Amino acid sequence: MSLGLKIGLALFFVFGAAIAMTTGLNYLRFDQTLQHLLSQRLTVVLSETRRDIVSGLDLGLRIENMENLEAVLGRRMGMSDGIRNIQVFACDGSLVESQTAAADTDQGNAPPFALPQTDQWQSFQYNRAITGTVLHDSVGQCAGYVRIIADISDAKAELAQVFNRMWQAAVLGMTAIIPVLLVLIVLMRRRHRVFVELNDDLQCALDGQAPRVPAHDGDVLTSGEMRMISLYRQLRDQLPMADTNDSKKRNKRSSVCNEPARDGEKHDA
Amino acid sequence: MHERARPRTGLIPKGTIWVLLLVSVVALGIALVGISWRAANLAQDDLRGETIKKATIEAQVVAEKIERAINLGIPLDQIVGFGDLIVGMQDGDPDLMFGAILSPDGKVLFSGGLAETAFRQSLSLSPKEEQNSRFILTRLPLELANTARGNPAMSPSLVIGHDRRALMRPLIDNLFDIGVILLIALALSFELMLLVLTVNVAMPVKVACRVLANIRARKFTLLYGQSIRDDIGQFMGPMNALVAHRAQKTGAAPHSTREVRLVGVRLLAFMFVLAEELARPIMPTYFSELAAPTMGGQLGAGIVMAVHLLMVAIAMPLCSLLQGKTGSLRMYLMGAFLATVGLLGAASAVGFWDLVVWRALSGLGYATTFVACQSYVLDATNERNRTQGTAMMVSGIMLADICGPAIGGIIAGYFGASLTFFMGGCVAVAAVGLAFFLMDSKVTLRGEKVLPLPTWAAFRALLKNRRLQVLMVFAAIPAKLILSAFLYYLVPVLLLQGDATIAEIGRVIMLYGVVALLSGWGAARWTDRKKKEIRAVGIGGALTAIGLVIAGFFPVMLVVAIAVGMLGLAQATSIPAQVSLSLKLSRTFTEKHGTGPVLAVLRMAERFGGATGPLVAATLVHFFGPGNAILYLGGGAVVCILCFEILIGRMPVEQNVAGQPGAQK
Repeated sequence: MSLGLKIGLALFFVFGAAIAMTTGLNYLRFDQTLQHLLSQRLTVVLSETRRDIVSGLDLGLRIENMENLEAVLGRRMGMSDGIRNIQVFACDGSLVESQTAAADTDQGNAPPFALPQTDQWQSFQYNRAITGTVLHDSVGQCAGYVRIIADISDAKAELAQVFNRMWQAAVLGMTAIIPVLLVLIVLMRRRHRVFVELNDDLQCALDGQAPRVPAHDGDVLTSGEMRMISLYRQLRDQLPMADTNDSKKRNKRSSVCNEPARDGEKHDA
Repeated sequence: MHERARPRTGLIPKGTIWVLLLVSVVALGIALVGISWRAANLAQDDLRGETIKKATIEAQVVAEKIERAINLGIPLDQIVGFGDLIVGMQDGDPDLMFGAILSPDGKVLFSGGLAETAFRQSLSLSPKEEQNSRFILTRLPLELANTARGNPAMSPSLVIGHDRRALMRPLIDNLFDIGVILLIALALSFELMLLVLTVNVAMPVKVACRVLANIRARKFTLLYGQSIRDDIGQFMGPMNALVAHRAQKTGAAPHSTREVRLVGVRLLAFMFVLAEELARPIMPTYFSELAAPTMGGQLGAGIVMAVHLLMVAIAMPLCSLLQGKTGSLRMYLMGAFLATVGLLGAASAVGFWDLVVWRALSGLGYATTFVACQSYVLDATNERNRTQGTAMMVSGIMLADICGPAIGGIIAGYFGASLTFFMGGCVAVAAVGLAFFLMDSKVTLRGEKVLPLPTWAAFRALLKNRRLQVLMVFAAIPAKLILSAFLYYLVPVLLLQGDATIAEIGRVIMLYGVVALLSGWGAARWTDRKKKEIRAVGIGGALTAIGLVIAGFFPVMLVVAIAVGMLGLAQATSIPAQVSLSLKLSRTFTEKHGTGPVLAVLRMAERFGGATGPLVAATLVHFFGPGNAILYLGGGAVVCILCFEILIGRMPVEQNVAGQPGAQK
């Protein structure tokens, strides 16, 4: 594998990793913000529902005996079109009242209710967001629970769409590597030219001839290579003659050395 | 005439590789900004829709309350407490900026959240102009009994305004994280480029220079032993032929010379430290959660962290003894395997006791891989290039110290502590795979003559050196104790208590590595030039103490970040100076037994100091809370540095007991 290819692969890996990480991060942050907004929306509905029920409890009513519970839940249901169920449970977990959105034909969709460990809870499962709170009466005793189930499939669909578009943008962002690779190709070609010139010059030196090919020593990649070439230049004139018996090689070398200097153009072709 | 290399100033580095790196950085920066901007634009549309839905619900709630008041017979213009209602709603929705009731002719009757002058102008904007205003406005007509029903133009209305900047929050919140990713990408790019260029350019060039210098000296004893398939190799091929030809004439036997692939150890050191450092920002909280059912959460976390560091302290000298038998590669593989098991175990730990076992395994793995890398460097270098080899490994570790907490903080923030440990385990697995390619299994270059091992008597004599005792007790041990107590334990605990995100904690911890890396070279150079090691140790201790005391008095994120930076500078100033000073203080001993035993004693003391750090920190937090714990730790640092400054000059100098009969094997 050539040096240029190795550097190109390393750069490709770095670009890919950085762009993938950034895109992943942007997507995760968007997901988090969207979820936060959904959560805030549901929290407002939940707290208003709780307030309505608690005002009844404060009058001394039991949840089971509240006649307007259905109306209260129906009104709260209308506040947000994503809400599918609002349910009120007694302290033992038995269902007291449940309102289902007209659009939701399948009432059995609601997951079973388990007594919660905390006063307020919220969870996002697939296309569904569930939030709930415990209801306390005026003396702080448990009076029941209220739970809201919302359909968030629209938000999920939007999220999926944004996901695709973000990754499309990431693929587009990867095109930024093209100019880098072009620069790499140019630099590697120029470096290669330096070494071709050096090889030619070495043959001339072994023949004891003066350098003919103009040098482009500054085109190498690192200062170390420059030092190496500089060292070669210093000892060039001291290089002893090559094996004189090898006349074939000698003739070939001479032909290289006698070529007119063309600023290295033959190597660029 | 043929020397056409462009003239370069001192500011512009030589070689064209810098052009490539510069273009890469600019292109990568543009790409990251571009895709983030696009992501923000995509997010904006969806977030605006969701914000309006939320605002509509909030407006409905307010409108309901007003209607209820009106139904109770309170006239609209006599309603009180509207401002308080809006302020109360702001608690649940920080993006809500204001709310107002407008009369049918647009006059503001009531407002809350902001003064009327702050939003008055926004209310009269056209829908198109509203898109560029500071607020997202949601309007709702109030359907009151005494207004003309069905004619909203005759009804008062309710307006609530949300901050439009909330739509850009995903981008704004991500700015630091994206900056960290850019930094890590650059670091990774640097590492990879360094590896590729060192193996394919720097090493062949080094060998070529050696051969050319040999030819210039007319010796003809060295042959170029690197690959001859690349450009440099093709250039050196004829040189090899020339050397062989001349050697044949003179009857000499030239030998092939090549460079050991030392740079690989840098990447390996980087990876094993990265595996461990990823979880650094969440260690105290994660450990205390798991330890809470068994013992006090904070104390339990301190014990778990101490066990890890203690295992490192114990395992390092033992591994050093075993290294000669196993070899560096095998030892690295064993260490990386242990670290993998430890990290994966920590990811799935269920309680305090299994966590202790996993972290002990991690510590063992860390120590083993560290010793393997160190031994590899020692074996692959000689007196001439040993410092460079060590520096190469240390810089890999420093880079991991910077990248690890920062990227680990981001991962932990989104995916939790378990997955962060799991990712660390994956990095350790990758290190196992890479070790096969990056470590030569047969490295035998060690150019140092073997010195006689010191006896116990010599060791005792060394330990009786009063000045060395002062250095260890009041500088070396406290330095590492404070490092592990403050940076690894107190900073995450304190910042998390102050509502910082885990990503922010990671960035603060990262500052330590950044400052230490940037200042290390300058500080070491200053110490070497001035030959004032005691002063450097004193400055380091003083910087640490000042930083801690200030952070103890003002335990807020900015001050803590400054203290962390000061700690980085302090350690960069003090640690190399401690090494030089310890060797200087025990010169008689080192002349007979070399520097190894002195450094081993110093390192051992440091590591035990490091191991006690989390225990001390956890105890202080348990009794006094994190803020005061930092203050007391700072107090301890002040006492230590004062004792060091007072005692180091007053203690008797080393006695030549090491040279007494029986002190040498």
